Amino acid sequence: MKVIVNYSLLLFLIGFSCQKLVAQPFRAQMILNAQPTSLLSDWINHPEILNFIVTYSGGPVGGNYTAKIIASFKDGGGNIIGTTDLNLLPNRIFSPGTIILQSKDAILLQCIRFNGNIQRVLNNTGRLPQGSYQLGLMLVDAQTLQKLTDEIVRPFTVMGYQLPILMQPQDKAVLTSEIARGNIIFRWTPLSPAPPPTAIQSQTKYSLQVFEIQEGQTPMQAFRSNQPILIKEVLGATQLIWQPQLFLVDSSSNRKFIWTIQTVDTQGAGYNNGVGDGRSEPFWFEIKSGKEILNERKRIKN
Amino acid sequence: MRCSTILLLFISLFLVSQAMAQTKKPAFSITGNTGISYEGYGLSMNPAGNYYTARRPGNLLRFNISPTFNFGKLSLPFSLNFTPMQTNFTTPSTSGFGSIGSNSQNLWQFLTNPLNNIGVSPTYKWAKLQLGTQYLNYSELSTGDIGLFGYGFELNPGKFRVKFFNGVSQRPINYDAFANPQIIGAYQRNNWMVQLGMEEEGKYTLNLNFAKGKDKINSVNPAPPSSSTVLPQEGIVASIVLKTTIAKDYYFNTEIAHSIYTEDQMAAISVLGAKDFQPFISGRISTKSDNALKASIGRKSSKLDLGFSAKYIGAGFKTAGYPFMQPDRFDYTTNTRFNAWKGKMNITASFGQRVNNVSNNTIKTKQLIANTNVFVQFSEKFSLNANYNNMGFEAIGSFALRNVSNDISFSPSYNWKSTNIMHLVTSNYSFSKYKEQLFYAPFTLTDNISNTALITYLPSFLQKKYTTDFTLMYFTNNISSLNIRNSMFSATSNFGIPLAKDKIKATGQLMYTYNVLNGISQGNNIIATAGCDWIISKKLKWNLSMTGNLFKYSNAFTPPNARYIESTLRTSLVYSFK
Repeated sequence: MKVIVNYSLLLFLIGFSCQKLVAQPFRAQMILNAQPTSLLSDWINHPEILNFIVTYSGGPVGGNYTAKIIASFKDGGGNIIGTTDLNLLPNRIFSPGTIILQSKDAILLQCIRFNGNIQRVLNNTGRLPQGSYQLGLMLVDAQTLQKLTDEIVRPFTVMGYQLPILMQPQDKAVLTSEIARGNIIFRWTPLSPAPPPTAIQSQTKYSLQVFEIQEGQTPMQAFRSNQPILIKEVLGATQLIWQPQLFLVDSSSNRKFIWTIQTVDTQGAGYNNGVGDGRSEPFWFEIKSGKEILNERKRIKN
Repeated sequence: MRCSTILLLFISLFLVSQAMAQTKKPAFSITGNTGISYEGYGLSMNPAGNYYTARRPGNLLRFNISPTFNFGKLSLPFSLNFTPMQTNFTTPSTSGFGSIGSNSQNLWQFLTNPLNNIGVSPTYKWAKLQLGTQYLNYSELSTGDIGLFGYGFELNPGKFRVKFFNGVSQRPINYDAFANPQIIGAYQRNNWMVQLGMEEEGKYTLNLNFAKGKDKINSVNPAPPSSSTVLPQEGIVASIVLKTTIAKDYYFNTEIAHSIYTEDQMAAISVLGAKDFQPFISGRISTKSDNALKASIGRKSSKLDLGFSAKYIGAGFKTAGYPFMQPDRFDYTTNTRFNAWKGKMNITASFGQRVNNVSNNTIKTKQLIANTNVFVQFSEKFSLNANYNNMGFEAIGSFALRNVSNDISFSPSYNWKSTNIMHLVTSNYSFSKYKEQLFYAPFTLTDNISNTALITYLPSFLQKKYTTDFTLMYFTNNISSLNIRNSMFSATSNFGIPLAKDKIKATGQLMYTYNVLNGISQGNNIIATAGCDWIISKKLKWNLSMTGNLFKYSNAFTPPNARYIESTLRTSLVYSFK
């Protein structure tokens, strides 16, 4: 019995030693943001989205090693929707040591061939449709294409947001000065879908911005160059009642305004959805007296 | 370089043609006007604090020089509307917002600042040269929203239309991380646009538009970091526009457009993704391309308007000419206008729906818009206007929500005449209900109900030139779910008095407002405005207006009984050449 145990121990040690001799010289880890931007091309600009940590021990012979990183995008069920085209993928040379690769180095988007429908959506919008996905990364030998590491898979979710659409006052609306100098009601649709609440911000934050259009300015010129006459932060709600406290009489005083909603993220910056500054398409309105509006209605009737 | 050659060629042809055409010495005249305006603003708070913020720049001086020099058939309209200051907010300023009034912009940044218009458009018959700042609208889907500083021309010989322009729509601003607040920076954006078309007034218009916008990467140093939302972009759009009268009073208009847009010029060249369109744009991994379409058909006559219009903007459609256009939507509207009841009643109505996220890339939402306006002139003395608006927004699925706005208003007006006065009383009652409902956590339901009642009396003195009016208004907003009831009462009077043989017209307004929240006073507000328009001479006019705005909070506010005074002074001097 003792002999059997000794032989077993010996076989185990031999086996362990052999394992050490042929052990892969690469180890890898992946840290992926659970909710990156849906704008895939923007991943390269954000190092925080992906960290692929590769340790190359040098192997038995040491020196540099030429490998390739295969990236695979999968749907929530694990089915591949896009993977690296090895014919297009350049080699990467690893020196002994540990290296942290970010999106721009680990995922070469220009070399990834997506399935027909996803490729069509990406060509149109540059974005992955909203949903759950998985990203797999694997190192292979550049020559033999043999696996150097197992595929590491991490799940992620992308959300696509529609910025608010302005509802009231409507674009090119004419407001009665007698009412408008008391209050103007602003309404807009919510950011859709609502982002999940965070510890910093439980509700969506909107910034209502109103600009006065000066004499001789176009609405867009005023929007792009004037100081807002109102900047008001609104949390959660999609309505604001503004008391302008302005001298509003009739069209002779040329009172025109352009307004927008800037949706603000948890960092306090415009909700950019990948690009832009989170500002919705602006609307403009003008102020006329009740008498002017009455005369205009009579003119249209006739 | 190619553009400069085209321009030089055009200028040569332009000058030669106008020199050859003018056989007689042209009559010279100057029309238009020139002026200067100043706006001063002050804010004083007691006690000092941050419970109110200044809403205008302290000083704002603007020059408006718009003479038109006419030499016979050649005209030179100048438009020099500028200020040495910066008030930019949505586009970056060289010193960042919060340091308004800085003059640290260089000459190029001054010229290309959207705040300033500096341009001239020499025109001879059907040829127009466009230099400096121009606001050009080629079509609704290609380019037309933004001002450009550059050069170009517009030729309209007979029924042919040829337009070209090259200019800058966004000035370069260096990134500055150490400024307070931080300056995010902006790349200089160059734009090129061409239009070729044919047009016969009242019959048809057929235009082909092509526009390109490209950020100049080396225009800023340091450039905005790639992790910022400011990326060097590039895009082209091509569109075809057709407007035609299909029969008497019937029209059909349409525009079809295709865009290719790169969000980041620094991104790698695409091999498998979006296609390029050489030599105008290269396909990169950040390049997207999509279509847009708009069409309308209907009848337009003096007695009846009836129309249907639809607009589709693809999820990836983007053009530098309309930077804020919201993509991924389809909307349609039917509208009508007609008279009834022996011409005493005028009805306008529209009904439409907007579908957002048509691409299904994210949650699909629908928006309903319905509007009806009925105006009835019962007699010379009495009229009534009734208006109904309904707007609904709905998102379905796991993030379902619904916002519905219903507004109805009635505005009767009555006038009568006494010996010396024409009396006019107008009034308005508005009811507005706005309901916001979330069908997911936290399942909030917010019901806003607003009521507005207003009455205005305007006496017109038949023998005198005085003008005046008086208005009383009451407004409430009730949010039942939050137990918030906000009320406001205001009284306003305006007056106008001619002085110095009608050369001076003094005007003024006094407005008092009282605010109440849940039965507790929130404060009082008095706004007083006085001003005058002085016709100094036939060609020279001076305008002055001063407004004081005092808001005094109640002791329910923190700090208690705080108050602020805003003072605004506006003055302008305008000289008309003719």
